[in-house]
Amino acid sequence: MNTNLGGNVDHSHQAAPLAGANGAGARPYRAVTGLSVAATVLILLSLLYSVLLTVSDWRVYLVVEHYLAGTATLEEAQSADDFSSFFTWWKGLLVIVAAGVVFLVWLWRARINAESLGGPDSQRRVRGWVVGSWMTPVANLWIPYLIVTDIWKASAPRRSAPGALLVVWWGAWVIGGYVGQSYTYLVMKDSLTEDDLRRAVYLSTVSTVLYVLAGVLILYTVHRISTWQTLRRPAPTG
Amino acid sequence: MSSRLRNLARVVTALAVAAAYAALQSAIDVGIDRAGGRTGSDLEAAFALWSAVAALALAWPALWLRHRRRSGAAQLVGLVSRFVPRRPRWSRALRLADSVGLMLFGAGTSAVTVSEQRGHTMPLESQFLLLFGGLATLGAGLLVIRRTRPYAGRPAAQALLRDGREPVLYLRSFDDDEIAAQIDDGADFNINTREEQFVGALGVIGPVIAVGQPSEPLPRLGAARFYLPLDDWKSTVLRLMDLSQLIVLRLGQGDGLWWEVEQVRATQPAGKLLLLAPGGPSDLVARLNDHLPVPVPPGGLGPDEHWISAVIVFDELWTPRVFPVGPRRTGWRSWMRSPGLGAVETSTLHVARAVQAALASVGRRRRTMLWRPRLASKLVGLTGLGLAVELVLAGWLVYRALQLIALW
Repeated sequence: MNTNLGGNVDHSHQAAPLAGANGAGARPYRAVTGLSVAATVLILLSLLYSVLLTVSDWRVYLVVEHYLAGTATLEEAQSADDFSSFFTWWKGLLVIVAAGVVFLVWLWRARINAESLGGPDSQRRVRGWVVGSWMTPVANLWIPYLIVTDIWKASAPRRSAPGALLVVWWGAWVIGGYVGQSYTYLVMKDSLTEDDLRRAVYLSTVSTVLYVLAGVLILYTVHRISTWQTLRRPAPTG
Repeated sequence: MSSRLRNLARVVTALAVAAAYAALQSAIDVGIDRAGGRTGSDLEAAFALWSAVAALALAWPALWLRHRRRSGAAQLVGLVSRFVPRRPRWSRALRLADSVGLMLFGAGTSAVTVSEQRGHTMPLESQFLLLFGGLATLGAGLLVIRRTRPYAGRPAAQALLRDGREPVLYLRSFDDDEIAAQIDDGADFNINTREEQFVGALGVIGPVIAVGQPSEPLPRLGAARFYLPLDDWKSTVLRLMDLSQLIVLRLGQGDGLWWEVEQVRATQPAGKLLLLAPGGPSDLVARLNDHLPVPVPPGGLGPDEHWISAVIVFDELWTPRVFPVGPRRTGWRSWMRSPGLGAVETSTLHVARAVQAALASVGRRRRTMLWRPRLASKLVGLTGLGLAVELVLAGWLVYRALQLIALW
């Protein structure tokens, strides 16, 4: 959001043909196909991890319920506990960081290509935000959405807008993040009641559903943008 | 008044106010305790007493420093205040509204940040309350400051009086004000113009003043403006050149500007002048060379993509030293920035970095010069948050005082 308070937002430093939108100068076409495949695999892996974590939460919850009702054995409880102990915080972090890093490298390259394909005014935010916006509080609520939308528009053959697809992706990602934080708050409590456990399982499920939705949509987006950019890449000279 | 003395004055004044607040707060607490028949507040009474003593002890140096600041600026204020148009009464209401807008913006930004960063320590309801409440407050603040900011610029006389240091005189062609009023993308909420950011950087040296364009309906944001008559401005500008500690001159077209270049060259020491060469092809450097004993070396300017391409300072013999404007090319920060891992930098930050290097080369080292342009948007939020905290503290004191009155 450029809040124009007392001046005009300048795009003059983007005015030169093929110049970087951050004044970084023109860059040649960067291949994105290999990175899109790597990002797809890692994002799928992180989604699988989320789903399995939710399955584990449900198993623990159901065993506790049955145990309290006197219908589950200690072995069943032990088995559920063993399964849940596989999902440590560092494994989750590793999967997400790996997927995030590869996705951001893909996004960086796709952005450079989009600047060449879409022209100087196609990108609303400067290149530095491609990575920085994901880590900056408040900015991370909408700037990554703007970045991906602008790359989509610049890469699409007729500059067609992505429509509701990216709105749904971004909404699912942001709300999923908040629900996930609330889940963390519950499971980090010193003592969990049965109600807390039930609530944690519901939150885990909602968060995973939202992440899977966001994941599927971003995978589709990565695929479309990579295909468009590959098809529209400039022919090699010489 | 020197920068060091000014900083000391600020610290002493802040300590005096904090001590006075603590004394009042503790005295009211003791009063409420005693009115309620509770005992055991002797320690608090002693704290109130000693805080009051500290406040009184600090009040004298604070008032003396204030007097010194104001009397030091009296000559300049007298010179400039004749040319500052009187503001209508309702502009005060707009400035007050601007403060309210800043408070809302600061409070909203803080609430959203807490919801993001501390969300794992609170239930979902609290997270969403902070998020949506914060976004609504932030949006309301933005709407308010969008309307009120153009009226919030401080007139030159007031800026000089509040600061107390010798000013930085900013000279340029009026035609270039439009370029300096543009906003570069460097923050989540881009609020500050190039001139505001640049003036923020120069603010570590002194208050920045500039002659305003006579036809402009409102002073532009950035340097504090005063307005000279079109037919009688040269003598005042010459006097201000004498009284300023630094003259920052942006090269441009216009005979008036080149008369100023000529006068600085003829009447001022070389170390007092800092030139800004605009980006893009122009004959300005060739024209400048006509005024210099040693010409500016060809090809020394920075890339044309910036609104300022180079900063030029001079040694005692008026030999130019050129500092191109552009992103840092070496070091780990440059490496971090290439894939966008560093902070997003605006062209004005690059200008400020070149100004810092240029001033250091002539013996004026200013380590904190880059802070303000780098943190410009954060400072808006922090200013608002600071105002909100002050308001809450004052409100709490009044509330406790009313409680005490009701008990007595």
